[in-house]
Amino acid sequence: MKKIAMLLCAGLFFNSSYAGINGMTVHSRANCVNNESITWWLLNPNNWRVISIHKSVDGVSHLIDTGYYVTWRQAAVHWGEGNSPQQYWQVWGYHYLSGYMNNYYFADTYAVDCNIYNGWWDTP
Amino acid sequence: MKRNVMIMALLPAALALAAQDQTKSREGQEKENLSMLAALGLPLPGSGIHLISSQAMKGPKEIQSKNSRMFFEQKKNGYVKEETPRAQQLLEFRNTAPYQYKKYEENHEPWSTHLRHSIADLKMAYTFIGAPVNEMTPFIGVAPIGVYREEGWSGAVQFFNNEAAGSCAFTENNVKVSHAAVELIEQAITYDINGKPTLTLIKGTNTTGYLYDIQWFDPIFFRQLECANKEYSADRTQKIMDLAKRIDSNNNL
Repeated sequence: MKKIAMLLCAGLFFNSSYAGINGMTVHSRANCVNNESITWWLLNPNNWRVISIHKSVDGVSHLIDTGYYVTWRQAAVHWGEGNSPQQYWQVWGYHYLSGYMNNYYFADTYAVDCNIYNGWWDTP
Repeated sequence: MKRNVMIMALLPAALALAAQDQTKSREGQEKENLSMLAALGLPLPGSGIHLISSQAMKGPKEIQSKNSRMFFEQKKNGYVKEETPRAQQLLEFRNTAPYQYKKYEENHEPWSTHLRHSIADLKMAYTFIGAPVNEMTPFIGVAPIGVYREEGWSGAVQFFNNEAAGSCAFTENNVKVSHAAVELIEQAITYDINGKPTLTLIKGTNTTGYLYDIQWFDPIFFRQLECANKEYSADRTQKIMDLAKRIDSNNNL
């Protein structure tokens, strides 16, 4: 029974070497289908908040705030904005964790392209 | 025709100006971003360690109530009685790690978050030292955490067993690389780990096991030691605290 549970856990790693598998990781991407900033840790929910700020070359600017929510993947996403006619976007991500007796600003991220997804998108 | 030729001639200059403007606007925009974060009452990037009162801590009341309840329960009983899946995860990690190694053995991408056999296999933005080798009996693996910059990862988590402490994970976040910052509720802080602000939370049950979670903060690193055991004891708490002190000292050599 224990071995089955372990195999199931291992199987859940399937597609996700880009999600933090063993700890919290954060990233942004821009001009890559979506504009977004994400905090994640595969199957390990935490109380996260992500603020993603997007600015286009022709001056359009806006902010997405997820608020705090307990989840293993907290995503501030503007779906399809990376394909929009305004073209070139800059995306900043600010990643927060509300933990035991603390408010933790974990890291910031910045992207003007697919960022660490470059290899992923290129993989057939 | 003449107008089209003129537009084509001016295009490279226009693109160069736009690129230059992009550089200026990134710095300017980041200043504006900080103003927006400040208006939301959030800790600002790179602003350091802030000790605040529980009244000053922003956030949902139910979270604050829960934290307060846990604080007093731990003060009374030494730990919080609550099922803790993370304890189970760490207790099983030595058995699940081989599946991860096998799955990603052909993956050499530096931005991949899978487990490595050695810190030398990770592209880090700084020199990660970690726990002393003689404390890791055995060392199981190391993986990245945080943000992947051009220079590499801003942090790492090291998994190992320790005879006195149990099944452990040591996590480090480099503040200079990640621009991390933290607000800590002053009443919950001790200075147990080498005089640094320290937060301790021990949670678990006999079903899941017990997670001993110690975090400590200095201007360069935010560090965390989690150790899981099937049982709770005050003696174990002290042993894990002592291990955290030795890990911290090992990194300050």
